[in-house]
Amino acid sequence: MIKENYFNTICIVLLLSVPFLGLILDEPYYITLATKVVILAIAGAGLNLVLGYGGFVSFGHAAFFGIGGYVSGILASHALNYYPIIEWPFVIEGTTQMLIILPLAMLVSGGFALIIGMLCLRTSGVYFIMITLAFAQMVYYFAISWPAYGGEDGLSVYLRNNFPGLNTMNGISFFSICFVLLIIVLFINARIVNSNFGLALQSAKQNPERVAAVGIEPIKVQLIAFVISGAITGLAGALYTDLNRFVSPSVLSWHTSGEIMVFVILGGTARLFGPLVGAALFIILEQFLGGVTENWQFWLGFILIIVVLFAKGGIIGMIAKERHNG
Amino acid sequence: MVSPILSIQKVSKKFGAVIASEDVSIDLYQGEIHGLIGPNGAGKSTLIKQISGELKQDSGKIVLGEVEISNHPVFARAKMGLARSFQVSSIIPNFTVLENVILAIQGNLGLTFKFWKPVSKNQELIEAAHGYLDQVDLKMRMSVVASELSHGERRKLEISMALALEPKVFLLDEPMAGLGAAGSKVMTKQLAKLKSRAPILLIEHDMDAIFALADRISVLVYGRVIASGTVDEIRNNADVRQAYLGSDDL
Amino acid sequence: MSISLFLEQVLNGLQFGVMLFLMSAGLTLVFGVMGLINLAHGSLYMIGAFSAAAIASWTGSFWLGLIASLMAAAIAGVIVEIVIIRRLYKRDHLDQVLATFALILLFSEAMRWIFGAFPLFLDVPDILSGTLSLPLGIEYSKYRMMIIVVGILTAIGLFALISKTKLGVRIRAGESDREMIAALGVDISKLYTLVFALGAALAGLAGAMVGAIQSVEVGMGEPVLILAFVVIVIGGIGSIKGALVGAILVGLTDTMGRFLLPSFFKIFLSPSSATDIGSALASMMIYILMAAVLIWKPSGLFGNSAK
Repeated sequence: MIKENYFNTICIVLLLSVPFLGLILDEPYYITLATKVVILAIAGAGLNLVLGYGGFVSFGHAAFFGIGGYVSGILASHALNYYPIIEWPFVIEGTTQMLIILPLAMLVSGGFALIIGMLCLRTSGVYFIMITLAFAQMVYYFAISWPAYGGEDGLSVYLRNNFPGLNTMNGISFFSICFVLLIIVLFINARIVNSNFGLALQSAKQNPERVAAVGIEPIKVQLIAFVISGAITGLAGALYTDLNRFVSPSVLSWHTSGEIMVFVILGGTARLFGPLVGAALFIILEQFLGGVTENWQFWLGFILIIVVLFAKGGIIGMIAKERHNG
Repeated sequence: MVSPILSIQKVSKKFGAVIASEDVSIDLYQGEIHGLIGPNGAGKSTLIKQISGELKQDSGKIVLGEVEISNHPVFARAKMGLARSFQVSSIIPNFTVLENVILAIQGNLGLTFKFWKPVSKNQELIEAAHGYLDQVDLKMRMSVVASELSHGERRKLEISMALALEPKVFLLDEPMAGLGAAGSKVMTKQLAKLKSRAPILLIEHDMDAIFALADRISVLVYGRVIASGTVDEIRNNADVRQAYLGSDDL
Repeated sequence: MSISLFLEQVLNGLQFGVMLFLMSAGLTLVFGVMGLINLAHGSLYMIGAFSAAAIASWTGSFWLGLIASLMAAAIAGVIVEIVIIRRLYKRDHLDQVLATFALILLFSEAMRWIFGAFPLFLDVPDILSGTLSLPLGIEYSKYRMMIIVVGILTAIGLFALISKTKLGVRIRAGESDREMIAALGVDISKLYTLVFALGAALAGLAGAMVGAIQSVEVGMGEPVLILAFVVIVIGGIGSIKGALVGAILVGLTDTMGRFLLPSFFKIFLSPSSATDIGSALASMMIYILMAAVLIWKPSGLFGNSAK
């Protein structure tokens, strides 16, 4: 068993080697793959805050992923088509500036998380799982039936969004932006988890009664965690739309919610780099098993069951030493 | 006339046809330990829960200092100065003893919504926690994960967390529970020290402890206070003797 | 809009509701008695539909197909329970959600591998084809009527089972206090397997019956599964009565919503906007309903907050 910090460093090195190889071997596909892993890791990192550290099972995080994705898609497509979003009472035009789109995506998805959280956190257990699922389904069906942005067919955005000083259509440049954002997100997560707030959040997971008895309102702590979580997952969604230059209601489906949970679990809940490891494993399986058989999801399911039944701490749990909190 | 720090006024609660509390009134004054005793099923836990806010009373008022807290949620009452310890130790199992106490301190001081500075680097909180742990003689165990504490140490941790709340009132639910003779002696001394901090409403089964510690005692039987007075008055009260008939406790 | 069209939609809503009841009853029983969230319930529905279609096309008999669906789903239920599900009873909800989500993947891919990617077809049997003449000029599909009847009979049967039989007593006792019934000597693992298999059979039956009106394809169970969860959350987890009330409520809300909302909006909006907004709102209707119920009664209409 090695120390978690060493393991995390190894992960970063391995991750960076992939686009590097892609660059040397002139295989842009590797770079795209690595970018996908990074983006999904950000989504997982968002979920991990509430799932791993907070201890509540949200089965609706696809809603935040999708909302972030659509914010990005809608803003960009309006800008690229020179068509304002609203004309009255004042004109709001689209934009393709990442520095505007990304914070806006986080704001909108965080805002939704606030509303959904206020309604859902009054329930607990199965009811919480179901009501978060229900809200995600609502957003999903809304996206399918709202024709303005493609409905079921989705929305295409033919160019990557702009980032000052970089050519975002270049794979490595875009990967770098996403990678830096991942590091920032993980850093922020680490800070949150180890702070007073993190202490209260993780305590509420283990013993909410005791938390209330010391004068802390558990629901308020959980709500704030939920909002931060939604915003981070929304950021990932916006980046995902940018990567694929396409967004469709399928990112809002409950399968997506389930998949994000899978990244977190495979890697190890309440482990900082868990989502990264889990996302990487998921993409690796998708690529290699997917190349071998159309039915690769069968094997994903199989592995998942094994992990859940026998390797609860995820991959990191098997390799790195245990940390004592959470 | 000095006013009570904690005043429970005619609190009643029924569960269907079962009367859990009936017109219970207890006043707790500064500097005293008020014992609450009664046979099993008397409704002591239900009463505690109504005072702490875990249960809502059907009628009656609960007043802390000048403020009526009858409708306040649990965390609000704790913030206002009501420190409760639990009959079954309620701690945060995967965190260390030190972290448990820090949680209580941060709850008391309202520091929960700080997202940046690691708790482990917060010298002020750590030293304050050292202080509260010192008072219960638990400081040498501060790096131990709470789930690994012995039963007696958990009871001490509960008291330490209650102290960390710098409360106006202590609400202690059977602090002696599960402690052997030696442990009880230590806890009794501990509780006597506590009295100078804030008054204590002490629920206990351990009669030696109650008679040693309490200034006044109320006796709860089937949800009603059947007697209330000094230790001697209670000892000699015929109704109380009858309620405990058959027990060697008195 | 004619009265007969309106009533026909009400009947459709009832038929949908009854089918949801068959799905939800099993789901709520499993959660109530064993405390287990089972996402793979939709897969059992799918297995029932596929078995019915396969056997029916092989033997030419719809009825044999129906029986096959019950058996196949029940057997699948028993196998899954013994191999995987029983290890999950003591685990937390997250583990159950993940493991049963994994089962969905397993079953879906297995089906795809066995039957291929194209849908199967199940034909309505001849004696049930055509319509029934009902009062007020309604001509209603005989087959859909049969579904409603089967559903109602199943509901009655379940209520009788739960309230009048020894098994029912054990089930009810298991819902209140799991440890107690084990202590009283009831063979818990057999009871659990039986409850699970019963739920599976009901799901399979639902899948088989619906298979004749919609196509039988991989993934058909998933939208229904989500609806079934909505139903049991509305009705209260663990309550069969809640499942029935919730199912009818959801069935009617969805069907009537899709039918009425676009027309309603046409009163003051243009036809195309009305259809857009109307159908968008209609698909969201049941979730709005569920959220509203939960906000009013966090444990559902007939649930107890003990869970």
